[in-house]
Amino acid sequence: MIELRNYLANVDPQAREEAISRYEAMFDETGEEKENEVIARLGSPARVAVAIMRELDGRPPANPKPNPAPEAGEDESPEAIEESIEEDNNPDGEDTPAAPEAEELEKEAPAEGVQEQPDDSGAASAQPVPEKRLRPFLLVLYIIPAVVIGIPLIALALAVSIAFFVGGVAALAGGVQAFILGFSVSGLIADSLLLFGGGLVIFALGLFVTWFSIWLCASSLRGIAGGIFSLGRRACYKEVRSS
Amino acid sequence: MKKVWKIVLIISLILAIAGCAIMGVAAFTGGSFTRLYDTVISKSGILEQINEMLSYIQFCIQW
Repeated sequence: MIELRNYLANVDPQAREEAISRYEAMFDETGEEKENEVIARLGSPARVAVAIMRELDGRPPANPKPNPAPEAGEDESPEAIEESIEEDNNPDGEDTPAAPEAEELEKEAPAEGVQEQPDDSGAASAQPVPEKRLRPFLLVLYIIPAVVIGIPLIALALAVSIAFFVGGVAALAGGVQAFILGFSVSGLIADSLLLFGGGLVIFALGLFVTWFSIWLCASSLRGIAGGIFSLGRRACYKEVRSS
Repeated sequence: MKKVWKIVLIISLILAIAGCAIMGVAAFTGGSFTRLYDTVISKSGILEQINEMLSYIQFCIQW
């Protein structure tokens, strides 16, 4: 309901309260046990909001139920509720397709729990939409230091990763070699066991260091590139408010 | 990425613990690193290989 209220923040308060109270009454009628079932049948709050907004605009209302009809043999009460909503929204009985605005509205929807803005004017006010515009001069100015700083940073990250990788691979090879060497010991079995054990430990270390080098390379490159791009986006784009 | 980390850590830990256990058994049954070094490692040429590898890494870093 909070989400529905958020979606309908720009709708006439009186009409909004009427619509919401209708849905609240419907939930009260069904009870807590069937609440989830009713929610599933109604669909997302965005769809319900679109249905309400269409109804208020005087357009043919969209069907707020994206889910299939219930199977026979189920309890009648949710169906009756469903029918009553359908009658409210679609008195002609036409099966209109789901509104495409629902997806749009879902994308633009405020986060759940966010308090709605009071709208005393009573009419749906057109909020100015912030638009980002590229500033080419700043972009050129940004690219030069970004390349000068970025390339050495990337080279440093690569060098450190390669050093770790070489160390890891060397440890892997050393471990295998120590293990093989254990078979060639022609003395005490205990000495062979020492080599086997040592080989395993070195191999484990090599495995860890090799994977660490791969992870370091991937995450550092991604971090550096991502940082440069996000900084560039912040610096080179100007937010322009257009109604 | 996290899954691979988990797998690598688990495998490394298992191998390391197994290696330590084997070395512990070897130490209790009379294994000696000094003897192993004198009889096997110093004659196998593995130390020369390690030295070569280290000098190669040093060369790479200097380059």
